[in-house]
Amino acid sequence: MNGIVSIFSRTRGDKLESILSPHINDLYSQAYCYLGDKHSAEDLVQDLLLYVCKRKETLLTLDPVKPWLMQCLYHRFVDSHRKRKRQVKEVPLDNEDLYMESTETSLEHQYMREKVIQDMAKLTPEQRAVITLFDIEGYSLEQVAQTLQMAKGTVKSHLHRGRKRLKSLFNLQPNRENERLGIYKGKYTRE
Amino acid sequence: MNCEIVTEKLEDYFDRFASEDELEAIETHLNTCGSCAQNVEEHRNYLSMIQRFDVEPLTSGEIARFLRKAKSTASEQSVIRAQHMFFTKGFVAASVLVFAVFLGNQLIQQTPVNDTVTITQQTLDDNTETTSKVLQGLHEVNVVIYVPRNMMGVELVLELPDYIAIDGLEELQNISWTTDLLQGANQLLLPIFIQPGVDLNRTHTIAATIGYKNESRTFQLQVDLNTIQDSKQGANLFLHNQFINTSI
Repeated sequence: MNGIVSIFSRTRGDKLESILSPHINDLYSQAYCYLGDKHSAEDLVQDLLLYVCKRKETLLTLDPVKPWLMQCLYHRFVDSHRKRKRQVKEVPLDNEDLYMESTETSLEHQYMREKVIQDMAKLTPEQRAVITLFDIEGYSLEQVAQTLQMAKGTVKSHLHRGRKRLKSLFNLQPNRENERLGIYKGKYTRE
Repeated sequence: MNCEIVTEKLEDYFDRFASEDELEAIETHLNTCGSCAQNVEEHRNYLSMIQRFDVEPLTSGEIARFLRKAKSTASEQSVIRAQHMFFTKGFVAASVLVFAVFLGNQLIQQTPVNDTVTITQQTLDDNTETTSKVLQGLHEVNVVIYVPRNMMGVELVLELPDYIAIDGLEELQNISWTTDLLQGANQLLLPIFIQPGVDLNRTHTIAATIGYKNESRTFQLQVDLNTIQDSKQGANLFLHNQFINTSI
């Protein structure tokens, strides 16, 4: 019987579901942060699940499985970003989905949330991923480095640049003293 | 610690990457420097802003829908993908269940099909148990298709009775795909599921149609299921190896 090639998995579908189900919401949340809108996030997660379903054997050998799923999600996000990087997509301020999904009714909260989504879209995919995982999802530096398969120093570098860009976009301007010192232009001046 | 170093270390301070000594030095500096305190405030505002990016979780129904769709699409695509990995060349005697000889198109065209194809069935002895596994309703059926020369772009169709399903492709009763058969033995492994309540002592039939260059031929693969009591695992089933030889 050696050497027989089988394309059919012997794993029952319900086992696959029980492995994947607990992680889908986290993956969706990350996908949403990467992409900034519900439909794109759903498409990315669906794409990921299809990819995973085709690799049941790999999935069943992993414990824990979540880091691998997060890696796959990130790679698929980067791939999708490359494919449509020429299509600049702005999230409209009157996006109904955003209002519906907001857990608070405050108009200010909704406005700020949309602002974050719009400004996140202006970051590089790497910066978006690092900020999503570290600042929003709260993963450790080691976990982010493992998920994105980057050195810790690279993660910190993307984190710093992404934060700097977002602070600027959020209009969290540096104070006058620091501007005078040139700190935000990379020209450090001793006191 | 001066403003330059504090500014450089500010994110480490918030991210808890700074050492105890650095944390203490930074806090001492922040207590006396209004400029750096503003930077701290700016970073706090940033964190406050970024955490507004909350996402409403999916419902259990949406999660189930995602999984259903992924499984269904994966099953459909696996049939198409199967043509690249379905067969492997080789000859395995004891593990073979069905043995078919299929000649090329020219021979098919020259010779009437009904007069030349004979199908015989052979049941092997019990030493085939190790190769014919049947566990918890999942039966493993091995099919070997023997061809005298390479045949590219052969279309294979399997028609399953209602009570038999291929593991992973439960929705499909008819499975078809295009593949290349290499000279010699080409193996196909079929993990099949048989619904409970089906009489396992009678012969079951799976129709296999092989199409090549506008010619096609249908083989009725006779599958015998005999119940064998296994003291360790309860009532397990073994598929006897069978050979179906066809010659033209």
